[in-house]
Amino acid sequence: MEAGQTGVGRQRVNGSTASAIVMHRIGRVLQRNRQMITLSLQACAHCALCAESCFKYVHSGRDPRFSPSYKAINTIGKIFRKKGRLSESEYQAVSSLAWESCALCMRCYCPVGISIPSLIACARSVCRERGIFPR
Amino acid sequence: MITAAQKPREEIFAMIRSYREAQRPRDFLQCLTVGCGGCASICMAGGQREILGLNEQLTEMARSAKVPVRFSSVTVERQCNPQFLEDIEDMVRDSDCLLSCACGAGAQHLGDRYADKPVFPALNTLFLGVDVDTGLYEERCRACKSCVLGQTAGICPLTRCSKGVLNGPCGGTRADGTCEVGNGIPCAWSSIYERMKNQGRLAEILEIKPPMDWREKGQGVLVQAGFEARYGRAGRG
Amino acid sequence: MILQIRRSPYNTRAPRACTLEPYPVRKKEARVSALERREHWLAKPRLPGLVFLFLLLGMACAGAPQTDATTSASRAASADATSSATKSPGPHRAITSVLYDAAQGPALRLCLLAAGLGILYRAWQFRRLTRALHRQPFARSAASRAARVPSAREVRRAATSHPVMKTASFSFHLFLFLVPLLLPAHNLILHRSLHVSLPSIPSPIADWLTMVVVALGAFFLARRILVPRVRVLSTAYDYAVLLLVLGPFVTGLMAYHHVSSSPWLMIAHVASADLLLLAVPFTKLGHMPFLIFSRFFVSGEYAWRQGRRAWGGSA
Repeated sequence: MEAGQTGVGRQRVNGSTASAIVMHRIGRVLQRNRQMITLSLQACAHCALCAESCFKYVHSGRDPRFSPSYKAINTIGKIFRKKGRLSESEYQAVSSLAWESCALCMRCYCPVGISIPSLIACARSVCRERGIFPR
Repeated sequence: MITAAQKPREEIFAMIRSYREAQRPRDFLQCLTVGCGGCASICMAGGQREILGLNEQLTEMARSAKVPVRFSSVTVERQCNPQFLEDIEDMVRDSDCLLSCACGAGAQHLGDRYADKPVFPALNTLFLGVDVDTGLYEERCRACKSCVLGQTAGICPLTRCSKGVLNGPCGGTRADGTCEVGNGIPCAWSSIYERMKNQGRLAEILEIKPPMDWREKGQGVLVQAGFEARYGRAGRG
Repeated sequence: MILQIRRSPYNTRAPRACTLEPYPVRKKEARVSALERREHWLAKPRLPGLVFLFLLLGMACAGAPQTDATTSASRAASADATSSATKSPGPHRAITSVLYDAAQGPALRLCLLAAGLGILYRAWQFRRLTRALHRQPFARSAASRAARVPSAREVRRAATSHPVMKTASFSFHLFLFLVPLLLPAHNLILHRSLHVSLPSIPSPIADWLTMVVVALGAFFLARRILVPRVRVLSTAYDYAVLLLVLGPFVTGLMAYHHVSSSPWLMIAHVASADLLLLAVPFTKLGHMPFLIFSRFFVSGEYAWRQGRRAWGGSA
């Protein structure tokens, strides 16, 4: 959203400007996936058994920040808890997790059966609505 | 998404074994299996899980054939992008040969980057396909460079018709709507007809499409719109 | 006129013809056996949710307050209640025995009911999040027929989890369910109220298994503190839930071994069991029914059978 546009309602959200339309669209994305996100995050037992199935986790020397549950909780978990109202730097952190730490190869193994790629994909949609795209 | 399938284990082992017998750089052969986290992972042909199983089986075959080969593995995000191949430079330096579990493009890219080591493909690249279900992938596109989906209600006649005819059924459609070739292949043009009818565009099916231009059979190059200033235009000559 | 799906008259071994229409396909045509599938002993349709509820209902029968004490635990409890009565008569005795009866009776039934309803609610939520898969038959070309099919062993072999963790988790969950069901003390209470009981295991073995459960729980606690990829995910909530799960087992062990003569021990045991039951559908302990639902019903790489549903239902 350009600064010169008129007729677009703006609101200051956590120190960064995001137009009301963008926040509304983010809200719609979150509302549409609300049940899936809440059920998945509630069912997550925080067991970290998904880590070994992620090749990026293995390839990075077993850095715990690459485990799929960490990625899901710290992207869509954060977005959902704050209802999409994150600061610019928080969105940058979320987008770097969602795009650089995850290839969306859909091979993560969750013993409980949570679909982690769906959560990452949802986080990516929210970041795209916000105007943040992979470099 | 590019769909590939693993080659038979025997074929892969034979490639490595013949290389070992041709050249003996040291008392054992160190083979690095490189997986791909892109299309090969999604279609479950060359992901981390598959290359671990592949290495196990190849080690077993090497042991029983008494060929001294050792296998190590690494999975990169995509083999078709140069930046992801930089990470494994040290592993490649310590290896004698590479076994690429990516599509043909990725395997060649790996070979271009590390040209002094032989690259053996572990996969047969099959087609551009869709994920129908977990483990089930169907071809949808043949990358013919001139897409006619707009005129055929979204069904590609090149891919889904056995003969690839562009202008209506060939006359060999069986009574139940399958192709005369057999195997239960549905007649693509029957389905195109039905779908055009449902969409109310049946008159368009009478428009004749010109034959495909197969002249440009060489290596395809794409300079995407907006990047002409950076790379110049792609073209012959 | 949509093309009918009919058996091909020319080649009876060929898979049935299909249109290229996307789903939904009429349900009875979706049950096609021409598809390849991994035969698994769990491929028969089961109702794991009902089985789980049945187990819970079995434990609901322990809800009746008992009249005379024959089990060691209840004998200890009533002995403690009477001994505390001689020490401090009047209000103290009334409170502990009233609390004990309440925890064992109405509170237990209420928690079981809430747990059962909660699991049903989770099942309904789960169903809403998935959609039925309508599979169409497909034609195999020569190229794909030549592709090498991995063996079943290879398919199951994966970097799914460490063998130690796999064994620990499996045995922890197995004994978690088995020990309360097969404990002689619980079965006596069950028999008193419903005149049916499950077979019991001898008390020393039950004692040993409870100690195994507590030891594995301690292993999980250590793992949560020491292993970095688990530590980065853990919050106070995780530690609290783990202690909640271990609560009934630790207090049960203490009661069995008569560690304390206070009647509060038995109250703590039953109350913590009530809380645990209540917590199953509403906390992360709901990962258990979720696991059953998704592994049985959702199609995916690690599904236990072919899977009739997929993620992506109506919101």
